Amino acid sequence: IAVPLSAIRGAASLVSPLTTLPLPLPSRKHGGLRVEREERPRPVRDHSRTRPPGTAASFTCFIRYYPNRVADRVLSVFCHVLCVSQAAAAVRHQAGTSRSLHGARAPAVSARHLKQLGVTSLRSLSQVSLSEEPDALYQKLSVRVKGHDRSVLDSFEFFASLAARELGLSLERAFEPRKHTEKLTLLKSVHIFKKHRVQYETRTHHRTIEISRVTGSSARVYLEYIQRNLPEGVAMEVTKTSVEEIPEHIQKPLWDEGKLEPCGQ
Amino acid sequence: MATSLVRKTKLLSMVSSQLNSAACFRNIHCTAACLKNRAARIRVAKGDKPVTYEQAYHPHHIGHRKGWLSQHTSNLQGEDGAAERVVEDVFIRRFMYGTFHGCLADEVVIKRRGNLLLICAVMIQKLLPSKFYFLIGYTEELLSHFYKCPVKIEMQTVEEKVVYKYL
Repeated sequence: IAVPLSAIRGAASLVSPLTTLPLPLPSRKHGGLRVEREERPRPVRDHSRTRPPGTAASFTCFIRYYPNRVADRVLSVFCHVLCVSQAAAAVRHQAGTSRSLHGARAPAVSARHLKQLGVTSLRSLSQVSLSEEPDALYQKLSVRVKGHDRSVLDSFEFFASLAARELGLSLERAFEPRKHTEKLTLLKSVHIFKKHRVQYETRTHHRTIEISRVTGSSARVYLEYIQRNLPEGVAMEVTKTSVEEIPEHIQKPLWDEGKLEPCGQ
Repeated sequence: MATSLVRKTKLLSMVSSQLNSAACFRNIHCTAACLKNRAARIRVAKGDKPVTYEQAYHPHHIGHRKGWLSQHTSNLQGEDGAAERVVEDVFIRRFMYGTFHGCLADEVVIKRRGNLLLICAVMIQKLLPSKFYFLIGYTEELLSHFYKCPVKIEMQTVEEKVVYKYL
């Protein structure tokens, strides 16, 4: 993505890979010299018509806009909402038109969910596996990204919130914590001149995206998609909040059962 | 910056070798000296020196009019590994300069995406494309064996060096 289109024709251009283009679009397959290639016709986006998230229409829209970036795990999120046969048909159609999907490890989809949807056989979705254990539930999924360039974080926030909306996750809030500046005061000269110093600073900008009430498999899908498309120079910290049962040994206070001895009088 | 670094390391090694030969072992303590007024600047001359965009703008323009030449996360707050990345970057730049001798039109940009090391370079069309392909494969193979991570080179060729202005 660092190479602009004009460079393909060998023309001199001032926008070189040296200036960062703050677009967190997924990276293309590349390697070696660029060869002249025709641009394939892209579907025209109609921004006036908004699709309700988490439906079959939004799923087909999603895979049409990001055809090469659909992982198999995305299916597990949509299976909970849509009819499985629709999702399988959409994926097969997409696989026929574009490159084949990566043969990644199959996600664990809860068996109860699929039984609720009335699906008995999964021969059409051969890459999905079932497991009997219940899915983990998270009250809050907090994704915090750090970077040196604020505009890169702006566009990454747009990308992540768009992905969350399309996948049907409830985006609670996306805000910007205060930036952190690390300052260094160094000697300006190699030898003597102690009074003359030079100061440098390193700025770290942050951005936090909070998603609430999400299941474990959805969180895994979303995080994998986000992390595969993380721009260079950007670090991510993920915090998951879930409700746990109180351990048995502290469920009841000791003084109730009379185990405690009275203090010395 | 790189040239001043080279000069200082040479000075240090000369001094330390002299000291070691005289059988007195003393350590040299020095703070980092940063010649802010002269670092990475090409001084204004008669008007016949061609200068690229990267060379024309001074280091205080980084983030405003220039981008970053090396993009990784180790300089962020709470992240470590900055020194190792710097050493790797210096080696990669020297390696690229030596392997594609006379072909580099501008500085090499190094990006790190997870485990992947991406080297972006602009080259002058000095060699045949087949020779470029061979050198790209050779560089990728060697560097991936050195650093134990996938290395990819993104190359862009240009007829001649892109001149931004004359100083």
